[in-house]
Amino acid sequence: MFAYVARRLGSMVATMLVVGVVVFFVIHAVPGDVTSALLGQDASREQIEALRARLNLDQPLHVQFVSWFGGVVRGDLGSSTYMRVPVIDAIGQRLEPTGMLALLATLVAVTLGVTLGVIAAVRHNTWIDYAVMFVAMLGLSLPGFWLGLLMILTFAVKLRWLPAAGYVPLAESPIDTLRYLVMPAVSLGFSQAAVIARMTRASMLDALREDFVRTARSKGLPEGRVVVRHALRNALIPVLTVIGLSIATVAGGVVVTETVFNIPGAGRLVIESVQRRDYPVLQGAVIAVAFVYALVNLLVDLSYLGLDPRVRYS
Amino acid sequence: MSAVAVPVSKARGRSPVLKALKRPQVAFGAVALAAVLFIALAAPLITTVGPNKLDIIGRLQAPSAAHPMGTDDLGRDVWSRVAYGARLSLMVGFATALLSAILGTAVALVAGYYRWLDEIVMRLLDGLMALPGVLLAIAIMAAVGPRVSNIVLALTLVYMPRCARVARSAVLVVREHVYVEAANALGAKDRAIMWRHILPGTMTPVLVQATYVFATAVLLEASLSFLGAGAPPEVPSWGAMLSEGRLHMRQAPWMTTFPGAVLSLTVLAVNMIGDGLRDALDPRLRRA
Repeated sequence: MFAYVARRLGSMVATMLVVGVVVFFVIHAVPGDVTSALLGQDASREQIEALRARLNLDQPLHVQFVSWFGGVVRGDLGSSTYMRVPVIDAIGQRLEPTGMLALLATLVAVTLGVTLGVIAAVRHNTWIDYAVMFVAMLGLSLPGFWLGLLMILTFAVKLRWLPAAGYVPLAESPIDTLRYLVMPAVSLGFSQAAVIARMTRASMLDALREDFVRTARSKGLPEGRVVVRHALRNALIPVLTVIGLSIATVAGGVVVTETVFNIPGAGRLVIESVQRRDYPVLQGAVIAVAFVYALVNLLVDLSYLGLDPRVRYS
Repeated sequence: MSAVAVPVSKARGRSPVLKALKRPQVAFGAVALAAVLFIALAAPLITTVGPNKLDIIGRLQAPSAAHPMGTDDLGRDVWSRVAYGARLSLMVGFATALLSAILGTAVALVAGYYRWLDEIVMRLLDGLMALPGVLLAIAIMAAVGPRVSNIVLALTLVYMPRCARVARSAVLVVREHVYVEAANALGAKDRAIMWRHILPGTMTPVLVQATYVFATAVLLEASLSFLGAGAPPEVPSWGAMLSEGRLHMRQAPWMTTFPGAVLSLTVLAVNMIGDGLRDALDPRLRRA
């Protein structure tokens, strides 16, 4: 078990290193020079040179990388060239809406996905199964941002039930926070609910055919208990893997959803820093998301230990 | 695409692609996709106004005989823009699927066959896959600039690792077969073994994966263009149309509904074909 955890940690470190290299070198291929964006067109040569020196841009690329990545490892993502604050703070200020949105979207995806998947498997080859699978197919195919726009059109413009766009911090009014996030969370989580539902159904269908399910039934356990305690628990490992992957998709999707609903979160910050050529913030945001994703996947893998004792001994 | 499946069909007697087409969902998908393809190819014939023709006086007009899908905030014909937008979506989807499949298979063949390379290549691909596709694509587009060929480049970098993963697991299975060992024992060259004996075994899963890449690439292109990080302004794109529509949702909902509906239909069609192909080509993957 210790070896398993150590191996997983090792591969997480390797992955993060690759992510760091990819992010850094992709972003440094950006053609436009940040100095002209910051100083304007008519800056003097001396001003430009001074700024390049201050931002370490006069160093060779691999030296810049080593100093940047060394900082990242110690939790220092550098400073925003545009806002003149540490990247950590720039992202931190925008984190609450994004965190809440991602959390609620994942909640929608997991509860809806697992529930629908189990129902479809239990009612296999009935109209309920077909209906669930059709909804899942729609979920995979409808773009989340279009769904969001349609919801705004219906629930905000026509019915006036919910606010069309914006965000209210938790500290001001938690109820309003939720009201503002219902539509964003559903539009972001729906496609992942579809992915999770399909995997849950497939995995449950396999589990329901197992001998231990027949045994559980034949010893007279109530069907609900057979489905949840015996079949679902054994069907959960592939489902958890998919949930881990869908958290990455949600973390990326916030960029689009926050744009649709005008939410001032970290996703908007990514788009703004592209427009401002603020590389340190862009790099920092991308590496932070990758880190969260790697962490989630580590937790998913470790949760197998609890679910499946065989993993512990292999 | 049918050419790709030939080795498989020879082995089984009847073309599985034809068999797949008999499934109602695949038939629906094929018809819908053919319709979108027709709109894309025949765009100049079936529209009366160019997609970029401005008409400030006739802006934000509701759908009518002259403009079946209405006009946008600059008076451009929405139907015409939807039709020309189909060209971009299908082109980007197809090119990304093809390139991802070819490059992914090549990487998987080399990595899966030479075991010492495997670990390094797989760590690299894991790193690429640890970044959400949207973010990676935005970062690449920021670096290389808004050009259609760059969209294909960015999306290929996003989806190639996924194809490589699928192809690799197929390679790992195939390379253990006795006939590969036999070819090796007979002194066949590595390249010949990979090309003649291992490659055909990876075709089916990669083809299925490529269909899904097509669908998600169409979605991702739309998202990028929606964010302003995709197609350049002069190229009509469904994603960009939705971003313009968002600003005029109250006065002109047709700017949002029509491009989104056609985009959804396209992705739905490709996904249905993908599911049908998977069921028909690979019975082991089927979940009855």
